[in-house]
Amino acid sequence: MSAGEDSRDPTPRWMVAVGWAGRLVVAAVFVWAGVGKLLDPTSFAEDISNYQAFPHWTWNLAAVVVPVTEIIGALAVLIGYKRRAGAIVLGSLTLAFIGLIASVIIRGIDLSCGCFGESSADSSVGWFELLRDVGLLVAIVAAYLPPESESDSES
Amino acid sequence: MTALLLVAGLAVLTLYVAHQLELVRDVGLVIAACLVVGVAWLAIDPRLAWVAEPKDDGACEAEGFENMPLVERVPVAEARELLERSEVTFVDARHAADYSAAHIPGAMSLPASDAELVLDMQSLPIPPEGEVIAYCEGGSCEQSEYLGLLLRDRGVCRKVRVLEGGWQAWQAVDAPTVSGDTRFGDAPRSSVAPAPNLEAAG
Repeated sequence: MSAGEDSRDPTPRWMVAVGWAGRLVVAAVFVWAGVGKLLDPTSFAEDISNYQAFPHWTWNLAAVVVPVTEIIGALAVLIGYKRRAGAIVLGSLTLAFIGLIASVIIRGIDLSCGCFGESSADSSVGWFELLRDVGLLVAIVAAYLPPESESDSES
Repeated sequence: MTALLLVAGLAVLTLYVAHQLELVRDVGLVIAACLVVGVAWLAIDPRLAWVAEPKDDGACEAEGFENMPLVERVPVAEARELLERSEVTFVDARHAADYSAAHIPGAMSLPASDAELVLDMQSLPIPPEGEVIAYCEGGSCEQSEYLGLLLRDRGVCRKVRVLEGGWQAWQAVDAPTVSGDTRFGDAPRSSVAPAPNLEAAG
């Protein structure tokens, strides 16, 4: 990143630092999650079906589109190209995850999260996953916040 | 609930970015890119055997059971009615000792721990009518859910559900139980040969 050239809108240093921390966390988590799912889309599709929240024609579509979205969003956030848009997409995705996990807890369904592509019987969705996603949301906000002052924005 | 949270989150986001048209456009671009790549991947990736397709020999396909939700819950009251009308076969996922102590009348014992092994060697003598309800001790019952999936996977072309609250919930409402050691088919409908000793299998 070129520093110091853009003097119109100086971003506070702490915000840049927090932003980078958030970007690294978000990128690492989502690349990990996306690649894990893409390695075995079939079991992720099964995990999706277990959520009992979607019609079955969406299972395979979501099994691919979700991890692809995670990876593209993570790259956007990490590289800085369309960073804010990527952060918004990932944030919406995470909000959806949080809603899903909450609904799973409320409905008392016992299922494998599928969050990172693992499909083991002993990892079931619960409060830990919910808290983890809330933490992730914080990181996404941190990654979003610094203004796009670098060369990645035309205006 | 899910939809509500989703809508609320999206509304907040939308309000926040409403005055930044460029950002909105970028978000649209990112989403479009993800969809295009995803659909292309879906078309190309040969590993994607569609999950909605039955995994077995297709015997279930003809009867339209392939799309049935596997782990749907059935409330105790409904299960009891089904039992009274003999329209259900219960499968007991608990340990054999628990089964011997007491179980739902007509239930088959198929402890989850050796279910896979047992089903490898023989098919359960489940009557051709009615649905199948798996149950285990209680709570958020992983075992009965596993059993339900397994049965479905092994070609039990039937509606397979899981008893909500399991054995504990069944007892809590004083629903009928029997005790004894009959492993398969101590049901009135049993015309089944005595089952082999399952303990030996495990």
